[in-house]
Amino acid sequence: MNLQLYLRLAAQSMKEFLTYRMTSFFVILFGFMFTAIDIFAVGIYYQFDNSINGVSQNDYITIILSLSTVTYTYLFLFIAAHESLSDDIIQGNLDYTLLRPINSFLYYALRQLDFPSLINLIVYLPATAFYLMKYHFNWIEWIWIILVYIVGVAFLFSINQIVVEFAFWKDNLNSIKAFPEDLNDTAKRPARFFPKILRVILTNFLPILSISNVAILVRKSLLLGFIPLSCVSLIISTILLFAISYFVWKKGIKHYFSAN
Amino acid sequence: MKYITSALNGFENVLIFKSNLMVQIFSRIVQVLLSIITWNAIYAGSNHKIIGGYSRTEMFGYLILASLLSILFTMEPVFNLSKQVKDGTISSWLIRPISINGKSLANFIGSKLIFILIMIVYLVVTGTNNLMMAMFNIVYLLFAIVVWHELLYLIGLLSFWLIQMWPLEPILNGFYLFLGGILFPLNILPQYLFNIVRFTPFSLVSSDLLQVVLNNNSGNTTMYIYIFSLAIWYLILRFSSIWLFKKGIRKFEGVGM
Repeated sequence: MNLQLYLRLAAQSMKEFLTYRMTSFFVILFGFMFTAIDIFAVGIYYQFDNSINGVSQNDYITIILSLSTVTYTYLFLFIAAHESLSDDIIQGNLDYTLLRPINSFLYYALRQLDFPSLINLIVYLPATAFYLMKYHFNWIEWIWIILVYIVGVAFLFSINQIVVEFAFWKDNLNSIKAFPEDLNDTAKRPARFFPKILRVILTNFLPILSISNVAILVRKSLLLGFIPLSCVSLIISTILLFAISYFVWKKGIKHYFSAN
Repeated sequence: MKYITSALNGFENVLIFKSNLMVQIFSRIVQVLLSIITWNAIYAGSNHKIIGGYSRTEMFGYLILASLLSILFTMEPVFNLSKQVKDGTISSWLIRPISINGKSLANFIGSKLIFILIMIVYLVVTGTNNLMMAMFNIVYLLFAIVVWHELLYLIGLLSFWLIQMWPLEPILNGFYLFLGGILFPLNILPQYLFNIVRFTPFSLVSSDLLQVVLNNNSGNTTMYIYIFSLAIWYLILRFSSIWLFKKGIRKFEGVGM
C-alpha cells in the first residue's frame, strides 16, 4: 500500500459518494441526529441540577463531542471496509483482495473512504476544539489530547476489525456488530457515573472511557507529573488489540474458502 | 393457514439463528444498564427524591420495560421488503395468492412471538387486580405491533426508489430512541413538547404504552385517546402503503430472480 494507490482509492470513494447522493445525504443526517439527541438528553438530565456527581453540563457535552470526533474519524477512514467484510467473506469476494501483491490486511482496511462521515467530522472537530478550549490546557496536555484522538481512532478500528473478522468462522452473526456500538454508547457517559470497578475496567483494560473523558482524565493520575495514566493504558490496549486483529486476520485468511 | 405458515417461518428463523437473538438480548441489557447507571447518578447527585414524577425505583422500572419493548419494536420488516425488491424475489410473491403485507406482518409476529408472550404474561401478572385493564393493555400492545409493522412496511416500500436502504435504519433507531422514550420518559419533557411528541407512532407504541401500563388506572381517558390515535395512524399508514405499493410496482423492473 503506497500513497499513490491510496489516493486512487480515495478518488474512487469520492465518486461513489457523488453517485449515491441520497444515501450520502441520509448518512450525514443520521450522523448529526444521534449527537443532537444525546446533547438534547443531556439538557434533560441537567434540568434538575447544575452538576451531577461533580460533572457539569459542559463536561458532559465535551465528552459527547470528543467521542463523536474520534468516532467519525474512524468512520471516515475505515467503516466502508468493515461494513462489507462479512458479505465479501460469505460471497467469496475476498479473492480480489487476496490476489493482489500487497498486504491484504492494510489494503482491505484502507480501500474505501466514507465521505459522508467527513462532512459530520468537519462540524464536530471544531465544535470539540471549542469546548476543549474552555479547560485552558497547557501545551503538554494538548499533545496528550491529540495523541488520545489518534490512538482512539486506532482503538475503534481494532475493536471493529476483531468483531467483523468473526465472519471468517461464523456466518449470519450480524448482531455481534452491536458490541462496538454498545461500547461506543458506554463511552458517551462521564466516567464518574460508573461504579468504581466498571470505571477501572473501562479506563484501564478496555479504555473506551479514556477516549471520551480525555478532557477530565488528562489531568488525573499523572505518572512523573505529566503522563496521564489513562492515556498510557489506552496506548497499550490499542497496540495489543491491533496485534490481535492482525493475528486473527491471518488465521481467518487461512480458514477462508473462495466461492469462485 | 398461509399466514400461520409465514409466522411459523419467522419463529423458526429466530430459533435457528440463536446467536443473533442472544447477542440482541445482551445488547439490550447493556443499554438498559447504561440508562440505569446514568439515572442512578442523577438521583444520587440530586437533592430530589422524585424527578419528573418518578422515584428512583419507578424510573428504573420504566427503563427496564422500555428496553424490553425495544426488543419487540425492531426494523426487520423494512429490510426484508427492501431485500426482496432489490434482488427481485418480490416478483415471485406478486403472482401468489397472498398479501405481501400480510405475509410480512405474520413473519414479523412469528419472529417476535417469544417476546410478545413475555409481555402478555407480564401484563396479566401485573394486572391481576384489574383483569379488564390487563385485557385492554394486551389489546393495546397487539394493536401497537400491527401499527408499528404498518409504519415499517410503508418505509420499506421506499426501496422501489432508493438504491440503498441501510442509512434509514440508524435514522429510524434515532427516532425510536428519542420519541419512544428509551432514554427517558417523555412526560418529563416540557409540557408543550410532550403534547406534540406523544402522538407520534414511535411514542404511541412505546412510551405511551408504558405510561398506560404503569399507571394502570381504569376509566382513564388518556388510554382511549392513545388507542384512538393508533387507529388513526393505522388508517393513514395503511392507505399510504396501498397507494405507494401501486406506484412502486409500476416502477419495479423485476431484475434479479
